[in-house]
Amino acid sequence: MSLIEGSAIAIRFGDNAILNGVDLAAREGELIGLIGENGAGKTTLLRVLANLLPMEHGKVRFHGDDIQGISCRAYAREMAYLPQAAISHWPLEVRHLVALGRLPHRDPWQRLDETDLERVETVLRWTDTIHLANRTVTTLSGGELVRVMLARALASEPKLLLADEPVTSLDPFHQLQVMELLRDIAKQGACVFVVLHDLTLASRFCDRLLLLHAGKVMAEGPPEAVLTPSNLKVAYAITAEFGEREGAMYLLPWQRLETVSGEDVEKK
Amino acid sequence: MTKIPMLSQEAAKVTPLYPLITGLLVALLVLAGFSLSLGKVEIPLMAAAMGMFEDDPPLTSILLAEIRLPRTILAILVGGSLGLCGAALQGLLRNPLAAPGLIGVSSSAALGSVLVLYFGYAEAFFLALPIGGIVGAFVVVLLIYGIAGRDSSVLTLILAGVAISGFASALTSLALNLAPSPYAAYEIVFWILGSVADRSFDHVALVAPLMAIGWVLLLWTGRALDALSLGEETATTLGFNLPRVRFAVIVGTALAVGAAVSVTGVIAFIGLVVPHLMRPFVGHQPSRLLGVSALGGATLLLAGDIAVRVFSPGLELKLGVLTAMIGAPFFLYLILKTRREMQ
Repeated sequence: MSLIEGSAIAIRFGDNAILNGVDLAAREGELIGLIGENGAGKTTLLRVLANLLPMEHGKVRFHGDDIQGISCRAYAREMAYLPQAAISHWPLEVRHLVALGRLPHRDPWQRLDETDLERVETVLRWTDTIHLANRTVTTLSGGELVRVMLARALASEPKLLLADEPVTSLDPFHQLQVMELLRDIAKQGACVFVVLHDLTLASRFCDRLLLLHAGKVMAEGPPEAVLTPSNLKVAYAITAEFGEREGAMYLLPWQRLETVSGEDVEKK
Repeated sequence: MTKIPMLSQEAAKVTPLYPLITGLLVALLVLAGFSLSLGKVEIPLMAAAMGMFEDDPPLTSILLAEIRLPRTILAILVGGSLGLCGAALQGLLRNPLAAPGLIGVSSSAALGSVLVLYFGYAEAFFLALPIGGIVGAFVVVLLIYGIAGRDSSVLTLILAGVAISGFASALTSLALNLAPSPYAAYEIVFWILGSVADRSFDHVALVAPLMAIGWVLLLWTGRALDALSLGEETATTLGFNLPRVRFAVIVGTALAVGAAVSVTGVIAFIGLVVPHLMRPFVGHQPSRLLGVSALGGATLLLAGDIAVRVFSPGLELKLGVLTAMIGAPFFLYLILKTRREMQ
């Protein structure tokens, strides 16, 4: 059975239909890449799955239950959301920031117990940030901050992790490191959704890709099936160079087509 | 993988707050004792305290019970309220420059009370003045949240605060301007200057329960304020019902500050300065900041009230004037510091 299932999700902001009938389903253990041009609705879809946005239409089910019927506290124990460019508004110490991820599991007034501390330590090791435990978050580099924020998200032991562009601002080394980490998290049994702009990372690390275009899922499936020249042409209005190394596909966006507006390309 | 020494034991070492809390409590007790013994008449504290329970209490006991004790208790309650509200508002708005005085809550609470007085409702019923203060505070916290709650931009917050404070002060001045008699004008000036002098136990009894409800609401939000360090969306996904949290902070602030201002007038900058001073001691964690800010606020306001009595005997300086004179330069310093950190 699917862990999370969305059917006919529709959202509009004012007159703009952002999502217009999106269906999806994902199981535990899957790493799913959400790709698509700017404004395709990737972040909106992620926020819908996090139950942060009311839908105009459609349903999202978690373990078969409508998420709008689940209390936000109960959902918080199952799902973690990592927003784009996550920051801390106060100069907290890293260990305290990561421990915030334990809040859904703690009763009001209950102190951090041994289980909480062990989990914090585990995720700090996992994300290779344990040496930063006593540092103040404001002193971290971009790559360190992303990993610390990821540790915070993992601290709640989520079955569903929703990460919005976690690698966009990182250098290549840290991009690979974070993608490997997300793949490991999925292998440990969580279902991970990740919004990506780097198509090679998407193709190399994700089990499945969901290509959004004009508020709909334009293509879905294994990376080779989604990242085809014709799909790239419609969704991104680009051509790409394709290659292969150690059995994995990579691609290099090469040339822009006439316009980035997908509709115009379709008309031609 | 290299074995790194266990962190758990070390992570468990959350810097304990007991030394800080004990220190503040001791300071508060010492200051309270000093405050009670300070005045034109020398009062032997112990003897006078004993005398309070006699059938025919001596004059010193009456002086202690009717004048100095309410003043001291009110200073502690009001200081605690201002400190706590400052910490909670800063947590909710994720902004170190938020404070009841700065964003116009105090001045509009004063306006609320002044309007009640001006239109002659003060004598109409028992709670009229505090309710005026609370309504004034409530309207403004709501307004500020509507304007600056979404993004935590310092600029929007401060500018909105300046506008609202200015407007509330203008209306208060208008009431002063139109005051029918010098006596009425004098009463209105009282809210502008701010002081805990010459209050009775009636005042304490009037506002203490309202403040207490406010404190409970504010302290309840501690966990949520921690989660808000990560922004509103993340706090929601950590399981907090934000509308409920906002409601608690807004109503709690309105109750505590509104009630405080209605009996003491505007005592500025305590709510801004105290959380700022306490924050480094609690690792900048909003939930741990609440309690110590309340204690710190009580200590600071009591110290201020003592300073007023020690340094200007006879022609007593108003406490609100003193805190404003010390607080305003501090605020300026804070702005410069914040600006540096943001660059």
